[in-house]
Amino acid sequence: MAVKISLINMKGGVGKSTLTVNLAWHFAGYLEWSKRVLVVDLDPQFNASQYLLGVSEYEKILNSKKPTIWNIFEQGTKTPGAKSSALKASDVILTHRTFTNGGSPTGGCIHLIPSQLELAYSLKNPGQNKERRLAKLLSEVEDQYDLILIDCAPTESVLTTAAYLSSDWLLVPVKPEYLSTIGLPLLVNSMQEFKSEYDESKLELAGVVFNAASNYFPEEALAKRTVKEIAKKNGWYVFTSGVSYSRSYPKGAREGQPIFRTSYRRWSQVKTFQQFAEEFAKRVGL
Amino acid sequence: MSITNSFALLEDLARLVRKYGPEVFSDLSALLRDPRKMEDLTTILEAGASAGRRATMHRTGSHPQRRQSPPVNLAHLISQIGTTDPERADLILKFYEDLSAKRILPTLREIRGFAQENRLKGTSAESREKAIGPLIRDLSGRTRDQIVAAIGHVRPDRSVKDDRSLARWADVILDRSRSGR
Repeated sequence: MAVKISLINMKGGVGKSTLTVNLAWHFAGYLEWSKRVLVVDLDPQFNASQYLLGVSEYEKILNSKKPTIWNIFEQGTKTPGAKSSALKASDVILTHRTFTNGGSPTGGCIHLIPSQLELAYSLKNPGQNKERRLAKLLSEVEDQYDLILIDCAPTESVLTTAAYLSSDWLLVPVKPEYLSTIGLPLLVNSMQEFKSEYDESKLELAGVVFNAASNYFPEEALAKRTVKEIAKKNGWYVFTSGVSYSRSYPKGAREGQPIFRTSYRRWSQVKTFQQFAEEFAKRVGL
Repeated sequence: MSITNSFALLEDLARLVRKYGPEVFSDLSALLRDPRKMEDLTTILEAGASAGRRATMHRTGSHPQRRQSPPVNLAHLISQIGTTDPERADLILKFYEDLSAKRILPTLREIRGFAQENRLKGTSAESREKAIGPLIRDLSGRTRDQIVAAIGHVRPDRSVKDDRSLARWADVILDRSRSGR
């Protein structure tokens, strides 16, 4: 049974997609983990799909009318050329990468449910139990994965509810700067409202991770201190290991590589990310 | 081999025997009866010929697109490993080829970083080219598992094949013919 985690923050630009993809690579690609990972791109901006697939692969998906996350929400909606009803998980999940060691499969893999811009239309037309469709589809395949990472959009919408219903945990990346930290109480409020409405949910806050931290500026130190104080007051977990800013992240996104495979990689940055990933795994019982 | 060719070879051999003396010829022919030594010699000669072709291309300014062969001493080393452990030799050769073609670790700084991380020689070299030899020689002394662990995360950068530029993404995103949904 997969551990299902949504990466979410009501503030955009905090590095959710980058963190999602690098966590997927870490747990699928490193030999000591070799996990089966499914990445669900639940953001109409489709950054995780862009990172993993690149232009050519993504274009092929669009041209071949292969279903995306949009089709999960809009099942039954008539679209020219696209499958519109009785969507199965296998229709929408792409095998992105299977890892090998010396020619033999390690068992580690990254699969992807890609997103597309049109997902934004689902935000305009909620209802019809759309919020439950993703959870239903993922329940078909969760035994096939060790980890399901859902990269969420930074908005309160039917997509957020769908992410909550599909997840065991929320991971909240916070960029240690003023506006980004305000997104945190907004998110926790959203999660509490959700839990009061959906009694059956066992959703938990895995924790807050400081992302893209430079560990230098006084402004950043202040933001971290404030978040830690609020977290302590509310009983939220804050990861001890943060993810530092590194030029490897944008370069990795441009090249479709994880941080540890870019030519800019610095061992210290890779180690910092690994420390966080290990702490994260322990926290969610991976 | 046709009779004509056989006679041509015999004529060449007779000329060489006269030049180097019958003893050298006899010693050499005994040596070449060993198939492993014959294989080593073939590898070395091919590597030498390849290096010669590279030098010619360098002078004429053309760029070779084929596989990059190691220099003679490295080729000999890899071929020796290949006689007992072909899988290990393949790993080293592939790594050498990717390094030489700059598909991996394209700068001296990165090679030094890699050597340092894996405690390999090559950190004190003054140029990228000079760092490769010591690195490969040192790597050759490692077991297969150690080599896999060291080079496992250094993958050739094939991302250049896919144009991930903003212009390409803009084309895809702004293509109105697809926005029928």
